[in-house]
Amino acid sequence: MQKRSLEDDMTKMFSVISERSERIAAADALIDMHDPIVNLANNLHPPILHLRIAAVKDETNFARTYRLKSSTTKAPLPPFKAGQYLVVMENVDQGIVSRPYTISSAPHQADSFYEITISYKEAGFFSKHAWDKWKEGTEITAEGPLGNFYYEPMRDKDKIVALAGGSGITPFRSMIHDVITENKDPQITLIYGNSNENEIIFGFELDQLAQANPGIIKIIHVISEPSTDYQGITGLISMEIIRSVIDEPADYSYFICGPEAMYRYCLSELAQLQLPQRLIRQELSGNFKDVNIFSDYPADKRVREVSIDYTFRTKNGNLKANPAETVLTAFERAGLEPQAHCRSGECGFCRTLLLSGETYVPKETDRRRAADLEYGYIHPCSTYPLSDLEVEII
Amino acid sequence: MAYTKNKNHIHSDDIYDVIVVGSGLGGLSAALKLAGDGVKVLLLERHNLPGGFATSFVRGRFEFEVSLHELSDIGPPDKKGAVRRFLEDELLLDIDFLPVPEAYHLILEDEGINLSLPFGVDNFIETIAGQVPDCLDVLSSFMADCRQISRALSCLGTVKGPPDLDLLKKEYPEFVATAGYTVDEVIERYNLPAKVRQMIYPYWCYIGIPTSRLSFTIFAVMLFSYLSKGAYIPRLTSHGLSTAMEMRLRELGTKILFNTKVEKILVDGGRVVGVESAQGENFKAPFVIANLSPHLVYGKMISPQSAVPEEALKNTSARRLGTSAIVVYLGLDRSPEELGLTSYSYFIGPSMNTDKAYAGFFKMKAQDMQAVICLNKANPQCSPPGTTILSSTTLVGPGIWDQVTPADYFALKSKIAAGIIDKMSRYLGVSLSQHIEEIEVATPETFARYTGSYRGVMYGYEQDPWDSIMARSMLAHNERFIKGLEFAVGFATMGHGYAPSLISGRMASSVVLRELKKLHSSEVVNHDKGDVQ
Repeated sequence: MQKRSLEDDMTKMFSVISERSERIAAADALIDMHDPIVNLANNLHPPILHLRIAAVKDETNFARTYRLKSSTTKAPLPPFKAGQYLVVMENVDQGIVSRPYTISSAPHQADSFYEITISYKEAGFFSKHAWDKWKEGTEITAEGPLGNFYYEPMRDKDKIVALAGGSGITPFRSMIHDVITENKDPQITLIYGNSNENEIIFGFELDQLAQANPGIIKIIHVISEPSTDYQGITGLISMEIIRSVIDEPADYSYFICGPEAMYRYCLSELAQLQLPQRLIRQELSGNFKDVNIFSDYPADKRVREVSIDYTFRTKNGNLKANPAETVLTAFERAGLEPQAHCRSGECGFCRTLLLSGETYVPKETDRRRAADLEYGYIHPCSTYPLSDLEVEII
Repeated sequence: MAYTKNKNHIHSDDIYDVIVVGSGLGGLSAALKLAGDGVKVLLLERHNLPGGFATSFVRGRFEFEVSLHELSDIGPPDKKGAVRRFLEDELLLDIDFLPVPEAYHLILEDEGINLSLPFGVDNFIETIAGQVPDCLDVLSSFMADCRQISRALSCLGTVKGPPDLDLLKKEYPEFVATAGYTVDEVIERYNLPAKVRQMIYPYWCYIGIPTSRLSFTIFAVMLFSYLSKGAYIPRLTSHGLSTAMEMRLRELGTKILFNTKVEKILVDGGRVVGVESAQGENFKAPFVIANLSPHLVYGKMISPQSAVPEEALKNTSARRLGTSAIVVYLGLDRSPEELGLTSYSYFIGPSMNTDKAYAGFFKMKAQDMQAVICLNKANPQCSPPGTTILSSTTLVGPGIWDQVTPADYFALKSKIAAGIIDKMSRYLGVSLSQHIEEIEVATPETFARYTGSYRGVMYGYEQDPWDSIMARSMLAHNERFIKGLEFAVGFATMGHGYAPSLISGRMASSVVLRELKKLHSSEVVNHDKGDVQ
């Protein structure tokens, strides 16, 4: 090292202090609080959306589409990716309950509205509430758009097979419109299963789009309980049907959305094609109805009722829960309003600390972080009580 | 490791000794240090997770590490570094750390460099000397000087009051000789071949300003610390670190409220008296430790705003905001071996021109210079067998994303991510696009969304010599503007990063502890006087 005068270097060392003092003395006594990045985040992900039902349309005897517009602003609604959902919140009976609904309209329409389509067929108490109470002009609140069930060109093949059952058509309606309007990938082969041909949602609309866009959109209907004179393909969405409408299976990505029985069947059929896991994507969208469908559920441990001691911010109390239902459902039945979005174990918004007690979490919906598993956090939306519990709701 | 789980019941009329706002590593560390000393602490966090940037997220069968590349100053269990000593011996945490296998794997395409450099000062020197003839002596002497500078800084850290200049000149002349200069200015004095400079510079990315502006002291200490003590990651990701700290706080009976955004820090008579949440709750305490930027605190949170002294405004507006980042997270359906990934930490790019790379932070495009982590190489169990977690971090200068509209956002993010993946594939020489099972992309918007960081900044304030840790430390006593308010955050004296944030919490807590004792003793005095009257 070349030797220099240590005294000079010492002076230089202390000069940073005078430089600091000078710079600060010369600075504005005003902090620029304009924050375009936080504004962007708030515009993309507003904490809450205030929406008004602008139109109601019956799609079938069992499915109804609600067009939602902002009730507070004329600005475009937050953009979303076709396949994402809204979490709709409603005062049902004793408390606020939320449900995820995939947006069935196209992303470009978010300039003025979103649509969600609610099926009354597999009605839970939320959809019954919507059918009974929601009219043109009804105001509702929602969170979102959220979710990871969308086409991602960096990950997915440029051709997809969309496997839909019943109201599971909603993300694919959005995707099909998106592909056509924006003139972009992927090519979509939709195999749409319904129990009866009268229950096909968006049937006319989508068939027309397919006819007008050959080579881009192809639609195959599969009906499991057809009317006697039905001419089309019948049965369930089987491997043979899938195989008959595509060429090389590994050239496609597979998107599944539909009722639980349907997607389980589709998964087992797809398994025969021995595809890499990265080619198969599924939307679990919402509650599992019956805990007994999980083969590793310890049914022998099931009791009639459990008691849950909870702490929730400045509240605490006790509630009774039905062990066949999730812990989240128990919270909601007791009128608590914890954060909850996906209701499928995935998003982690309902993350809750388990202080004591035993629970069952189905492996297929256990998307907890490793440390949360280690330290006893649960996602109540995919957790079933096996004993009395003590929890802290975040 | 199990921590005892206490009930965490909050009464809104409780009075606390200290309120910690934000549960990033600075906030967690401050809260835990105080709680361990029996102080009554309330910790408030806007998100539903602890950790701030020190967190993870799950997609499909992968759990991605959000921001941690490697922790410095941990050291092996039998030769603990300062941060491990703090975490284990002071905070009584039990965290499973895994060693990072190499210092870094440097791939510079235009320079023809593709070299994995080991930890251990001697191994590091030998590896470089094996590649570049006749540099052994000068590199050894350079590293010896870095060692001396590190020791000087440790020594300065232990003394109270102004440094003993004669002692510094006598014992640590290299510290005195270099402390006022930038990396480039000091490196000029050594006769290091250009190729060697390229090989020793990569850690500049962790500070985020070019070597023409970066304080040499900071760089020398960082380089020597990593090489001599190695680097570690928590087995359960940084979320495991954050959650272990949260659990230990619960064990100590500290009250924690998540989903609680603090809107106001209440000041009365020049002293902090409490905070107000977005939900309108008021919490009272004579001390607030802010795991927040001074920009947010002085710019809008102090209430009334008139309580912010002019010096605080000037001090804050004089600082230059550090960078944010774009991170591309990939879950791949092949093992690192199948993909041909051999190292944990890659620095990749065309060359090690830090001015040019820094200028690139201010362009809206996929950066050339990337820091890539293959998590499996330090933690083989981090993802299922036959898969790999790979992430690429590129830095983004403040202002660059300001004009982005919600309508443009998705397309822009995808375009940049695609460019990053292309460059990463090319520099690493691995084919990624056919194996992507999960992909997620974080941008400045993402970081702003989840942490609330002002403008999505990740790297605190820039550390030019006038605003380096040294300058900040030397003037820290003059830069406290409101009684009872301390900062424990990457924007504070120690600068950004995992270890600095933890240490920053420790520093804030020790100031508060000292003041708290004074306050209690004066209260006793006041009570006595009251009794007499």
